Amino acid sequence: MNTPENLLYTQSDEWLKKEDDGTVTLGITDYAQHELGEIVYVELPEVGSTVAVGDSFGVVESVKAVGDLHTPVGGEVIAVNDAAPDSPAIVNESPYENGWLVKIKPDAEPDTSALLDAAAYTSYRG
Amino acid sequence: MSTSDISSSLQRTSLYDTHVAIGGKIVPFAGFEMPVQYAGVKQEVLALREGCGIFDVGHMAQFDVRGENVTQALNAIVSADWSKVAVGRAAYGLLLNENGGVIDDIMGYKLADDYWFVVSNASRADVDEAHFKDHLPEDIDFNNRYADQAMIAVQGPNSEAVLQQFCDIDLSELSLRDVRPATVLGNPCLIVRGGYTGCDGFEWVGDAATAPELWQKLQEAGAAPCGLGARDVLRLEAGLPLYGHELREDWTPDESGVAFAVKTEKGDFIGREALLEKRQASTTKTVRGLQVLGRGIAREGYAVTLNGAEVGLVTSGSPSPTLEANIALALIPAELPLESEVDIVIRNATHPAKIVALPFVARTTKTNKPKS
Repeated sequence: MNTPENLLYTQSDEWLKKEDDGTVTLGITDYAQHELGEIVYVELPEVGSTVAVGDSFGVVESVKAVGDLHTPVGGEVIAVNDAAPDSPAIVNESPYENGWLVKIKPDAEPDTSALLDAAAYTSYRG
Repeated sequence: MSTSDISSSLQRTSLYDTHVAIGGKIVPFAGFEMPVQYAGVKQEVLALREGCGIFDVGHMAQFDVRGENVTQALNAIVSADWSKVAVGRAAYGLLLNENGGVIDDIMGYKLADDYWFVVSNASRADVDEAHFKDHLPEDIDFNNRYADQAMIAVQGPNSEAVLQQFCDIDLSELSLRDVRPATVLGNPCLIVRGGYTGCDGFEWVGDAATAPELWQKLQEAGAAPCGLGARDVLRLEAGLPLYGHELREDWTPDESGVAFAVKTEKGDFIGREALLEKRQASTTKTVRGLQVLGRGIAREGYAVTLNGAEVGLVTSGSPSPTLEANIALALIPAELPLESEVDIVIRNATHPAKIVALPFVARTTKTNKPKS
């Protein structure tokens, strides 16, 4: 299980990266993509839509499983990765890089106290 | 999907250690710890459709029913006409409740004039057993095998060539639904031509101790291990119903799309009268095939609408790896024409779908040889 050190993790298997410009990037973890199996469908929100903490912002589906995506931060969706709906396998192949899902401009300083660091996530899913 | 009593200790088939050893992902299913997938659902489906796949189906309910008048006794319970089934043949049928609803669908294998072997859904084992015990006469001997014997389904266009390597009878002589006693790997067993994938295939029913060795040999001969996930997708592609999805206690066989398995003209059986009464009122909905026109995936429980009004619901839905399309079975009005469009509501958005003929994937089961 690949768990990069520079990311934060949710217990529902999303990852969050704090970017230098104050935005955050979200995706699903290597563990999540492995559990789902081959991803065949990705649905992401409209750019410009707003999400609150805990909201569903899309789904990733394999043949037999539907994974709801929940955001640990609230704010405006400023970008989505169009490559993911177009070629869902990218999320399996590169969950932390090319398979990122959305970028959010937080409406407040994100509260990351409930998120796990790489070590904690590894032991949670280990 | 049924989740009957998974809190108590789960059972395992004789292939459990094999599943774990070859990387099967184990999940609780109908009281058993069963593999949902190995290499991946999509890969498994395609491997089976293109060559050969094997399933552990030892968790299914297995009953021995014996007695001088056993055929007559079973025929008074099942919906199909089993009185005409010859020894050495298998038959499909439904168990109906007194309201004409479907308790389960079952396969009966007529092994002798006084002996039927009956297989039904694992998730319905207890209900089916109680139903039989309530309705079979006292002179009929009914025994639940409680999975003490193993079953492996060998399915796909290469299944005959794969299984033949380990089997003493000539499999090419078996037609669809023929049942034969045979010897596999030196041990006595039953071989049935048939399955639940719409492909040619066989079921091996034999002693639990032989199952791991046979599984390994089948794998070495090129068969791909397939889990419950692939099994569900394959049966959906073949347009075959599953209890809890298309088959339900409060739906009639007509609604469930299995009216072909009901022979009201054969005489009385449980549920017949209620069903005939309901037919007077005319059935307005039945389970039919849908193909989603866009990329959305229909899943069980999603609403089906027509011009904004709800007209039905999805009973099973999945991407079809074989067709590379998103397909579904849905309970919708029977009068809507083929190729006409409805909408499926997926997370509050409507996705157009067209009504298509079943099965989605053409069946390639070996048809019966003409009998002279």
